Amino acid sequence: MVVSEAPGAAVPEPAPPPTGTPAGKRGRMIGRGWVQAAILVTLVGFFVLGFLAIRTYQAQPPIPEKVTTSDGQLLFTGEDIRQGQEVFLRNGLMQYGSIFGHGAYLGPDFTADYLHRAATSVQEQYGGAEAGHARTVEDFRVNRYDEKTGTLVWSPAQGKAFTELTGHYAATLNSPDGKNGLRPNAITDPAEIHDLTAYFGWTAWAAAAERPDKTYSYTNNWPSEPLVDNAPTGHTVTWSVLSLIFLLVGAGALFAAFGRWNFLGWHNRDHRELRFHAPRTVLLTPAQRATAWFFFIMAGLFLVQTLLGSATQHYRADLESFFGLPLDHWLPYNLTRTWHVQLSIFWVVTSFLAIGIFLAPLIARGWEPKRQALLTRLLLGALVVVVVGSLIGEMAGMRGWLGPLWAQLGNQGFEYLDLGRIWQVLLTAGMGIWAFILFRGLRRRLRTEHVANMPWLFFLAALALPAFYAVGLLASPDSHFTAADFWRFIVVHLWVEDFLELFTTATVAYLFVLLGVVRERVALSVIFLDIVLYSAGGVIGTMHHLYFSGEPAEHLALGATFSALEVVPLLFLTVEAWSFLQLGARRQSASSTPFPHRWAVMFLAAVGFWNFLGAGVFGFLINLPIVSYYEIGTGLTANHAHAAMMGVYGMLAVGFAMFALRYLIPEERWSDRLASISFWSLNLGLAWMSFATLLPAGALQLYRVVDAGYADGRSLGYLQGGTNMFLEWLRLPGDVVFMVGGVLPLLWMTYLGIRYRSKRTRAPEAPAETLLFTEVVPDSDDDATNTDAADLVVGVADKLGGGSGGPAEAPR
Amino acid sequence: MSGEAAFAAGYVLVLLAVVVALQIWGRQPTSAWASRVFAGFRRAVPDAPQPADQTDWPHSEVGRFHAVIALSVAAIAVVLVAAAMVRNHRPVEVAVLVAAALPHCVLLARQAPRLLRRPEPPPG
Repeated sequence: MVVSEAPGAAVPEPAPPPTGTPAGKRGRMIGRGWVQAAILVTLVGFFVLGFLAIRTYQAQPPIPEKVTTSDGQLLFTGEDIRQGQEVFLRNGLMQYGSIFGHGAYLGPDFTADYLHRAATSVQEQYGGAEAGHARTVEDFRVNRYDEKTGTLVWSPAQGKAFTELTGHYAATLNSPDGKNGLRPNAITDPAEIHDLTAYFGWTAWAAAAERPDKTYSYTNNWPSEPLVDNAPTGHTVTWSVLSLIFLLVGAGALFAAFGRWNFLGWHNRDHRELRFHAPRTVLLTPAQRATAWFFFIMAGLFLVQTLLGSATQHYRADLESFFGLPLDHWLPYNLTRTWHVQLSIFWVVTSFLAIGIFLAPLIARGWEPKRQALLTRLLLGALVVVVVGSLIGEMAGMRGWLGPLWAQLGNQGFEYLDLGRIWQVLLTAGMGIWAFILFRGLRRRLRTEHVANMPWLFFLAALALPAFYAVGLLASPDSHFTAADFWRFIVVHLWVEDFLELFTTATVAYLFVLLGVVRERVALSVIFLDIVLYSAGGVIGTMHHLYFSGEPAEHLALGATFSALEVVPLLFLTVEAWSFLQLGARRQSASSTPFPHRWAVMFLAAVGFWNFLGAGVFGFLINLPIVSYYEIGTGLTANHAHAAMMGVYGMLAVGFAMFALRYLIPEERWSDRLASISFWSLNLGLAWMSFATLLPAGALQLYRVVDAGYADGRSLGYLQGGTNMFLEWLRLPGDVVFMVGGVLPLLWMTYLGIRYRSKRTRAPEAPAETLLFTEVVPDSDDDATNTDAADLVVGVADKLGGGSGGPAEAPR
Repeated sequence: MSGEAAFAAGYVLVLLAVVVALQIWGRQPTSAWASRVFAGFRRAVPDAPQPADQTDWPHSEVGRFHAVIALSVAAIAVVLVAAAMVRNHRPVEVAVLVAAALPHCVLLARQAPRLLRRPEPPPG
């Protein structure tokens, strides 16, 4: 192992702790009020969430023991319904169409589809629209479920409709020609078709039958269906208006408060000068070197994800073939979409795991325990096994190759939690091992820090990732759909929008602290502010996904109110974002050494932009219950999902890669041009995707739903219509720019990171030091009064080490 | 006039509003201290900090970033109109679509060359 000259200066022990802290331990660097507020808001949020979880189990639509007609014919049993859900999940139908509005967007929403077709049939049996409407409404809306006997009684007309629809779904799902996005002859077993129809029929019953003692259905009257008088409820309208008011009041109050008091402490002006170490002088630890492979695999997964995304999108533009190739024979829509969605999580998480490992030695001031690189490589190997294994398992499960092991090794089938149970456990365990790797690397530093300081917050934020991803294990294919959906959205929403966001904020804040451009105290304030604001809205706001999936009305009320408040931090933190990037905050004179992270910062700036537009504007566009009632499962959801997921977490993952690659790729191989091409192509491609196709097509589809009913707006007939197809094709140029200009240069840069990374590593015995910058502190009383203890230590150390021009100064 | 042509023309006008909003957004000061919400604090504190200069990096990138995104939206509008005219080309449809696309064309013609000529601001 070769050791080069250390770029920075050795750091003495931390400054004497404030009164009341154990000797050798740095005291809390932020006011106690911040900590108390964060704990209180989080506890209250989770207490309410726990209450809503209990209510979910109490108020979910009952699964009857048997469903008969009033003349005694047995239609299906509760076991048939459960088996039908398993057939639905095993065949990946939630990644083709949807149930209760949740799932994919090419196939129909099977709840709305069954309801519409059955109601049409019943109405025709009763003599048409004029003569039969009232009886049809009565058949569907009157709840004839007897809780004591577990029997649900349908009218003979409903029974006949069930038989007709069994034939319809057999013809659709067992089509030998395919041409509908599923593989030809996807489901051939008549018993499975029967169970599947029973499952669809049960969800349609729950969508129209009124809850006991209520005047609305188990799904709050969703979907919109004039044939059975399904229309928005009073709750849906009232809470939409109230949530708008809460948003305006919340935003006003927050801005007023922050205008009055200086919570964030931006007032710390100083005249110190930072000198960034040139990347070539920063020696990496062995574990940091190993992260090069993580970033390469991240970019590879990103490329595969976009290719699968383009295949998925092609189905919406042309169901017949993929430019002449019968793609549905090998890669049907439900499989490409499953992989596309799963990979969106995998590649982003790969980058997050890597940046955590990369930052740990920087936080520990250069120290790294033995065998950390070995553990990192083992983690990478495990990650590859889980990714490849789960993707193959999903295909094998859908094709029925795994027999009874389909849910364990194949696909559990819930959108975003598609992977088999064993892969899900392994992924959770992998993230747990990652947290352990971080703990090993940080433990020396953690010993010297108060638990409310940044090193602990960084570690605790990392620890929350496996903990909350594990909540997804509570949903399994044999769970009641409403309960499974509750736990699924704890992962899809709470894990992503709260805990991934928390880890993101902690990581970005720490990046800037490590670069010396933001004071630790300011960064801490931002992290605690993030916890308070996102927990206030985000935890209970999770319920905005569950307005219509069988939850009681309180989920709708609380979800609408608190998710409207989620927009408040987006507004505020967007205003704040550029200030956070305000490199001049800590140096009013220009740096004498170039800032090496132009493109990492630019990607972070793009995160701020897309956070506001994709998550804030496009998210709020569809958030109100009254809008969601008509919109759920249409193109506007896809618009929000792409702009928010790629715009925020995708850009962030690439930004993290750019930061680390700056040290992994030798100076002479680093290309600002490639980084620039990737940056602009990803942003322009994403803007094109959104504004050329997803937004206009979604708006048109929404109009269709309001005009002709939900089932019609979600039908293949509508999607294959001229105007929609025209808009779907319009997406092609943007996707090409995104993939060719955005992803390929990134993949090449990550390859350079492996191919040319320096073999020189930092010696374990090297003294502790700040690695990325030095700081010149002028002799000024004004500066001294504005300097906190930690900064003083670094500043004095740099002075001692000759940071103002001595031998330790970084090359310019 | 077909519904598709009418929708395309209407949507292109919505995109014009998006372009204008992005341009305005890009001109807003990005230093928190320049924000009106901090006006009360600035008045109350004797040594209130100066807002960051818009020429400081990365604030210097804000205008360029928003301008590029805005112009890409204008380009989308032009492409959308061109594609819509291939499918809907009765005189009245062409007239309406061209009228809707014209402001986008003017914006692109005026601002794209200027943007390309402007050198990228250096970081730091």
